[in-house]
Amino acid sequence: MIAKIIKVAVFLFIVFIMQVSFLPGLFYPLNKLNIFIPLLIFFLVLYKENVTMIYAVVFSVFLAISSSVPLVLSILVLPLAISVLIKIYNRFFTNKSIYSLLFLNLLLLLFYQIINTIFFLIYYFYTYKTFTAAVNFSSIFNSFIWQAVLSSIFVFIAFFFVNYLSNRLKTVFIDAT
Amino acid sequence: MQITKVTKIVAIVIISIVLIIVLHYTGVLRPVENVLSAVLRPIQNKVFNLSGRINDFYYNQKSQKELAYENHKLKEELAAMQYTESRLKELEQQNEFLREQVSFFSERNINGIVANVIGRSQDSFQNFIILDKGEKQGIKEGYAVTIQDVVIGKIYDVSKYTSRVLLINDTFSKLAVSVQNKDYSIGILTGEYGLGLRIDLIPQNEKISEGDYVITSGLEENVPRGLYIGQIDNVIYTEGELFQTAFVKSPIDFNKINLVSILQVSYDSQNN
Repeated sequence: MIAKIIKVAVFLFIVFIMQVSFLPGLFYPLNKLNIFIPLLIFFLVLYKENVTMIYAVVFSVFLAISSSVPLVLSILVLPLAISVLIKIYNRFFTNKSIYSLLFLNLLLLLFYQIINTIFFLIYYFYTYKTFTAAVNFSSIFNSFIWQAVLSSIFVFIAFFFVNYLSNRLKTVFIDAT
Repeated sequence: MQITKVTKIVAIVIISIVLIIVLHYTGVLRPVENVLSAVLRPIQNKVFNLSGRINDFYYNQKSQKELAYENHKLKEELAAMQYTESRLKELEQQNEFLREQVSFFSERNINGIVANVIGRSQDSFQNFIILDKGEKQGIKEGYAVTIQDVVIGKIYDVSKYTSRVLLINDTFSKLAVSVQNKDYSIGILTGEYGLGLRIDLIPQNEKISEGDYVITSGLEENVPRGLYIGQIDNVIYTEGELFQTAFVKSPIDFNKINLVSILQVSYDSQNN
């Protein structure tokens, strides 16, 4: 039990440092990579939904540290996005192929971006009582495209890495029983 | 059975989120946050420096490829520089301004606290950095943050060991500024989605030209007058409008900030 707690703590520590201090210091577009999203996809596919949701909350706290939007809003973005994805995953996805993972990754990224934008607009409106000049959609679009490309590469590499280390992704079809 | 499981997960998540929010805003989590930031700060500092070195390596490699092109471009610029000799008067004014900047801190007795950048915002809405100095080092909200005496932002959130700086190019940033023109125009400098800087609400009858210096106006509590921000890059003047808009070019590359100074200002020094 203690070994497991230490393992999880070390994992969270590495992920936190990577996301808050390492990646943002890199050059564009690498500094746009959000590793929480592909990691959550792996948790969803490899473990149960409750594990994914708990990690989503923990990652939200990490993201809230590097966010200027109030905690009350920023902490909700990732759990909300992952809840929508879990619904879709349970209803429509039947296998754990690389294509499924890539598609799930893009979906989560899209939900995350939409919810994040909505929350930012709410905060902006709350502060300035207007939506004028709130966001630059071309910048958001560019950022989204780069995030999609980079996190897909991350999923692709991680998929083969996980496959090499364990056989958990080798099951082609999910056991529906 | 399925409903019970889903309900359980949702309940756990909602309770966790509510607990975190309540404990954060009531300050119960403050000691935990302080211990965590004290432990993580040196590691974040090292990791951020490491990524900075990777960044520098990348830009060095990139710049080597561009050297040949830049060499050619520089030769052209050298020829153009000869033209600037005829603008001696303007250069003299610049020189005088820079001298004022150099003696600014010593004359006004402003205390500059050097801080390392240990984190940075990532998404496309926000532009801020996290510093390794906080309440313990006397940092307070609203203090101006500079690099080589050029303002880059203001402290907007302070914890015991760290603080966050909202960069002046962030959409939410507001800074009272003054233009060094004949009218000493004042205005509010705002960010343009992290891409640039803009001054709004400048009356149309005040003449602003490209190259005019922009400094802080001193109308804010913790930001002294006279801190350099940048130069006017472009002015949008529309006939019949009440106000004009000016765009400002900062000499600082906001993507390459590693070390900054936080200006600790006393009320006396602000009035000087």
